[in-house]
Amino acid sequence: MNDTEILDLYWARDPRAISESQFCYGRYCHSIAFHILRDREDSDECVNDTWLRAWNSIPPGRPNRLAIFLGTITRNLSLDRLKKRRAAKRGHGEMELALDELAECVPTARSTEDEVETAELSRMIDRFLHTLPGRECSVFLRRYWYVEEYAEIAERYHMKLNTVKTSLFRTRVKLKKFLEQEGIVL
Amino acid sequence: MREDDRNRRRDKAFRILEALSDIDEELPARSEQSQRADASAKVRQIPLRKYKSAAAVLALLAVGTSVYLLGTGMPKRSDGSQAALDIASLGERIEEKDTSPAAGAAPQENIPSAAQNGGTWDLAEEQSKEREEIEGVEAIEELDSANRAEEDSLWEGLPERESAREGAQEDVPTQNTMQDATQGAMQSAIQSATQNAAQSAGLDAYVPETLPDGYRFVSADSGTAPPDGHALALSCVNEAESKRIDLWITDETASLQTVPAEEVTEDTFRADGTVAVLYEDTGVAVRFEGNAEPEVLYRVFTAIRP
Repeated sequence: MNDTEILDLYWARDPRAISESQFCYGRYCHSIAFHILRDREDSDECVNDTWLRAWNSIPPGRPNRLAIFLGTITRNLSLDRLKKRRAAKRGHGEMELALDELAECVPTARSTEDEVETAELSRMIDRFLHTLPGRECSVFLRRYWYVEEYAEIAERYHMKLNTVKTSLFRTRVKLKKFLEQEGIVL
Repeated sequence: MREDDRNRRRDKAFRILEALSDIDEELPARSEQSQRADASAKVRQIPLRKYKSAAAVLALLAVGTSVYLLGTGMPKRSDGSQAALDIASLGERIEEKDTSPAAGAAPQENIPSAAQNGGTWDLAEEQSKEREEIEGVEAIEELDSANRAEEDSLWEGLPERESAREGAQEDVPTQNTMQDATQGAMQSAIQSATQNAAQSAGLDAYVPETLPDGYRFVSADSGTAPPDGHALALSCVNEAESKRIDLWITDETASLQTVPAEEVTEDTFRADGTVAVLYEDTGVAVRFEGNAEPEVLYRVFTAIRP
């Protein structure tokens, strides 16, 4: 069943929309959740919540790319869950490593400025990503959107591990510079 | 760094991570699809590397052989019919050459004299060409690597293609009014991309004559569209506004939900989802994708076969 047909099921309020979504995108969404949470049970719950949230969003929504739409929901749910988990107990592992790396992008704060709104931050990052060469952008997103490990990214793009690391390092430096130039404070 | 500071920075980093959820959905989608493009690129790279090594080995052989031949005064010929004989006699001549003045000279030192001799082998020139070829291969690889990830979902099932990408269009003039998209470098790039399947299928006739202000083409690819069709994909961007438009022009329309061209209005592009316009007289469809505003997409539509 293609995306249009699945979306038609959502719009018709047909429960098969969920089973078809699960069938077509269950593994994809679970992969996103698991890369973030590193816990099978938590990942399962996030994926199940994804279908519910999609059910509540469509209609009126009719996403252009159902996979990314569902993946984004899963990602947000997983990040929410991770945030709670981190608040309870600071964790370790790939996610914390990714966060330590991303902390390098945090622009230097100046006390007179207010923190940027999340929506504005998204808009800025979106603008920044559009300035990157395609491959560099994709590598960055595999690491920080999908939270994939270096080795997975290297395998995906047939790159050397060190090339992936170098690419990510350069992009983080560029992002920090970009955010500082735009006066972004986190 | 103290643990508190580290956690504070991680919290801020978490905001970046969260903000990434709201970026243009095309970007994570494209990162999914680059895998296939890069896989094919990898296949292309292997012979290039082999060629480089082979060229280097051949160059060394050529230098060594010519040093010997030049020193012996052997007739210089590029005639392949004598090659076996030349090689067979090489062992004997090496012994003779041990007493000649040129025998101990490094191969590089003999290159200028070979060129000055004006001989038919003209080694210096050949080596220069070889160097240029090797450098050219490296440059192509770098350019290919930089631009490869621009390939996107339009290439689903298009195994054979001609490509022309961003590097080819730097000369396209920017105008305040509508850009003439098919002049100059981009025109030749598009022509290159449409040489095979797309051109023979007449798909190049559906390239927009002009682009809206601020937009420029960044890629043009052509290939086959299974089972029996042809396809031409064009991408243009407006970098200042982070907008992108992808056009997929194909005569394989069975899998597309199309709208007849005569019925297309600006409102057609306001509806959710992808719009595919069918030109019923030719059976060609143009699919519009991207995050540009409906009015911009409509302007692109009107620039096709105006």
